[in-house]
Amino acid sequence: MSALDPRVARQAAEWFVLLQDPDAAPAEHDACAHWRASHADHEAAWQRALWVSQRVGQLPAAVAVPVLGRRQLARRDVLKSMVLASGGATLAVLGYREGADHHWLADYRTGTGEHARHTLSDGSQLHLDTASAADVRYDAACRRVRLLRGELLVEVATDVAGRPFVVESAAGCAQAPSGRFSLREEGVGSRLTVFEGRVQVRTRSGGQPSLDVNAGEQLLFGETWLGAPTPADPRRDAWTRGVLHVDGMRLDAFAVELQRYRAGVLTCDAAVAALTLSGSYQLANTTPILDSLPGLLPVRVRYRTRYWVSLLPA
Amino acid sequence: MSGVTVSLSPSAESSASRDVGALYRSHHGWLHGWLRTRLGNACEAADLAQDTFLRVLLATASAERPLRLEQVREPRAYLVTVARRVLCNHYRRQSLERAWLQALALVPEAEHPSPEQQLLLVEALHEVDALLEGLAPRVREAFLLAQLEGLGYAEIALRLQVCERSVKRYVAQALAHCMLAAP
Repeated sequence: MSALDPRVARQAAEWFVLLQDPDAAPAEHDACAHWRASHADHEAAWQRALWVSQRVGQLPAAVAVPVLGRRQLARRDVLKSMVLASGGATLAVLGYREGADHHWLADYRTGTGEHARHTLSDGSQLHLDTASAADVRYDAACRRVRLLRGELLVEVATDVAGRPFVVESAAGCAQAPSGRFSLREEGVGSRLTVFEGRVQVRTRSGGQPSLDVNAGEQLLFGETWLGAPTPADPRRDAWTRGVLHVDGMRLDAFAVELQRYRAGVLTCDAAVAALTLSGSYQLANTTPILDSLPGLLPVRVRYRTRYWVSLLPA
Repeated sequence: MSGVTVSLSPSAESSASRDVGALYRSHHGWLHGWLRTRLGNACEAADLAQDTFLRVLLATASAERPLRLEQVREPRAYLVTVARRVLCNHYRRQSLERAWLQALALVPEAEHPSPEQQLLLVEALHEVDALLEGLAPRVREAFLLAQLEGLGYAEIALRLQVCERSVKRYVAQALAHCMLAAP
């Protein structure tokens, strides 16, 4: 990146601090937009501020704060979230490493807790789940979507020109002339779930022959390996309707899943980790979901802060 | 700093790499000794001496302001300046790795993230740690609480026992620092 004027960097940082405050007024957002638009250097500095914030913000907080702050780790909750880091939070780090450089410039993106649906030029639908980003490139030969982070689902319209529809990720690509499938970054690889049609999957390295995955199947694959297709939960796409559907899911896994839609840290005590729950949960606001848990399971929910929540034995 | 590819323009290549080569031949042994007395370890000293010369080579290849070695009057003083930065970076990495291992030691082994995940996580921590280098502890703390734990400024002010305006100043200062430190 080119040299940044320290004064402009400081201005951008001050705008950022101002707007990060949830109480920032609309007029302040407008003023910041005006500042950004008034000079190319301002916009470049702003993008750099977002880049830094993204870089820092995607680390698993409960581990990163004490480690980066060189603080003594003692509290039990910190440990629990370290355990979670092996599931959810690390994955965010892995995902962001792949996509961070382009993420803020991505064609389509969502913040934590958001989901979005876009109609592409050929009529295909692109859904983005929480904290996701994707680029779309259509040309004469191919319709190409690149997943930069998070999860996406495409409803592929049949193309009059017969162009294939290809979704790429860090691990490889999934291709189909039509159908409905999702791709999710899971750190160690990408998870493909096919809801309609048949999708051909190929690793990035190209070392393996491609594999066809049928409707109702899912498969995890990495840059150099392909997992075996297994049956998929047909309601795995519920997030496109703003719903999380679970069927006998362990509470610790549920916490990891819910964490994707929440800012801050959500931890689950080992004593209650193996409890299971089923049902459909509205994702628009995850706090009522947490608050409903004590009515369903022998657990209590402790809010240390709004951003630090622990699920503990009742 | 392994895995770095340095590409030099054809004309610069011959003279710059020749100069670095000459610098290496004349002073490598001396620099290795200098580092060894500080580290008390010959192997680490050898690694960091390599890193130091690699930095010099990268500096001669800089697109914006290439270093011109023939203008360096005191090569050893210059090498020590670069080596001090390399040492500093080395100690920072060591201290971060210690903090990480401390954190890891408190978790039952069966629940450790996989080695691959650990590697990526530690690398991501290193990257951010390098950006934060040089910030006062309080400024660093305020920034981490705001960016990572998502705490509001009022809450951070309470924790750090300073006023809210100071917190905003700290966070802005830290953010600008990281923006300027970013590669």
